[in-house]
Amino acid sequence: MIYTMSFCRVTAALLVLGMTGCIARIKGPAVPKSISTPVYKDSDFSGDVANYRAATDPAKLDLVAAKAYRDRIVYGMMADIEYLFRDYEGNLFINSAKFNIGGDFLELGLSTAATLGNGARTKTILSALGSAAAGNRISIDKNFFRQRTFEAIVNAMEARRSAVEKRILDQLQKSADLYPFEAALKDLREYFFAGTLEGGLTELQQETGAAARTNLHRVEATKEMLTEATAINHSLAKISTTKDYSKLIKFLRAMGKNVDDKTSESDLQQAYRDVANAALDDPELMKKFREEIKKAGVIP
Amino acid sequence: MPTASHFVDGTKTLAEQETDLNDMEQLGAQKVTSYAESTKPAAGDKGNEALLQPVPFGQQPPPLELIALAAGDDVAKAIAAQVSQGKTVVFHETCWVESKETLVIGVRKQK
Repeated sequence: MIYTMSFCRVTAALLVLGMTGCIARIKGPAVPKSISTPVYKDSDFSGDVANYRAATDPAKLDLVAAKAYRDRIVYGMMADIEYLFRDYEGNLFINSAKFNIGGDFLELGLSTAATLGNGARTKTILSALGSAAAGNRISIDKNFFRQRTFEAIVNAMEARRSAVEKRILDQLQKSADLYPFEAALKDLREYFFAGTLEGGLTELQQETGAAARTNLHRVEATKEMLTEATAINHSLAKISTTKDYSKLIKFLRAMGKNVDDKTSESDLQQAYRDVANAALDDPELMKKFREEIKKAGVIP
Repeated sequence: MPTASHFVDGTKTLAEQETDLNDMEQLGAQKVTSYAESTKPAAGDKGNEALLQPVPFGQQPPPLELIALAAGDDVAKAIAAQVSQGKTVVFHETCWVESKETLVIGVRKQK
């Protein structure tokens, strides 16, 4: 019996070790050497900036050369930022288990950009961008982040990067006097930080804020409101039978509609419907609607 | 004929959504012709969208009633049962109800 139990334990331990080993051995495809390292060297950057400055010297302004140098710097840095982002993203996935634990998640979420990625190169890029990785903090609501999956944050990072990348590429069509290197540098900073965990979290917060705002446009009715709406509908039926639209006209004018006793019956009905539909999506307008319809005497 | 569209919070109960839809109809002198879960960003997360058509004053149809079907229920049988009770079916669509995707039938009593 004891022998059997020991055998089971050893077998289970070997299975667990074997499975863990498999996980550790999973690797992506081999990356070609040409794209596996940053390509834009610090010396290239310094040289191109000096050449750009010379080309934009008012005494010997050369906008064609300035654009060429600006574009080379921007494309070079974008290529390196892209390399760093993929490296950083890969490390995030490896560490993604930590995201399930509130405390670690929070700590990781607030870590600086250089913490997980290719530290040395990130530091160089940040130095070129003139930004410190530290200090780029966002306000944190633990509950908010606990509800978000790791994949959602990475997707938000990608979305934010794509938006900034498109803006930069559009701007590069302009000449160096309309989109100078300094403006490009500002956008490159944004491009870099969009690809950090903080950038992803900020994007998610903004998306959630936008969703919360759209929720205000959902119809919110109570039974009391429905009772009043039914009374209004019955009153409208009476108006159409008697053909006395004076109270409705008074109400519509109070709601900003340009109608009078010469307006056709069908136009008056549609004007009323337009006001009602607008009020259904806007709580403030609905408040006014309910006040004015009583004031006009459509309902008591 | 102009059509109005409104969103309803799909986290609400079926009864609450029924109140919202009837409020839209009564207040706006219009009738719901379609109601289903919405994929539009403006609907927000788990939102349903109602499409409504104008009704001339005084010709408002009877109130709308919502019926949720359980998973595995026979839709055709459920609709036939409503018709046999003298009701007309306005729509049968998948909607968000209390944050769950639910097949909902919208019916009215015949005038």
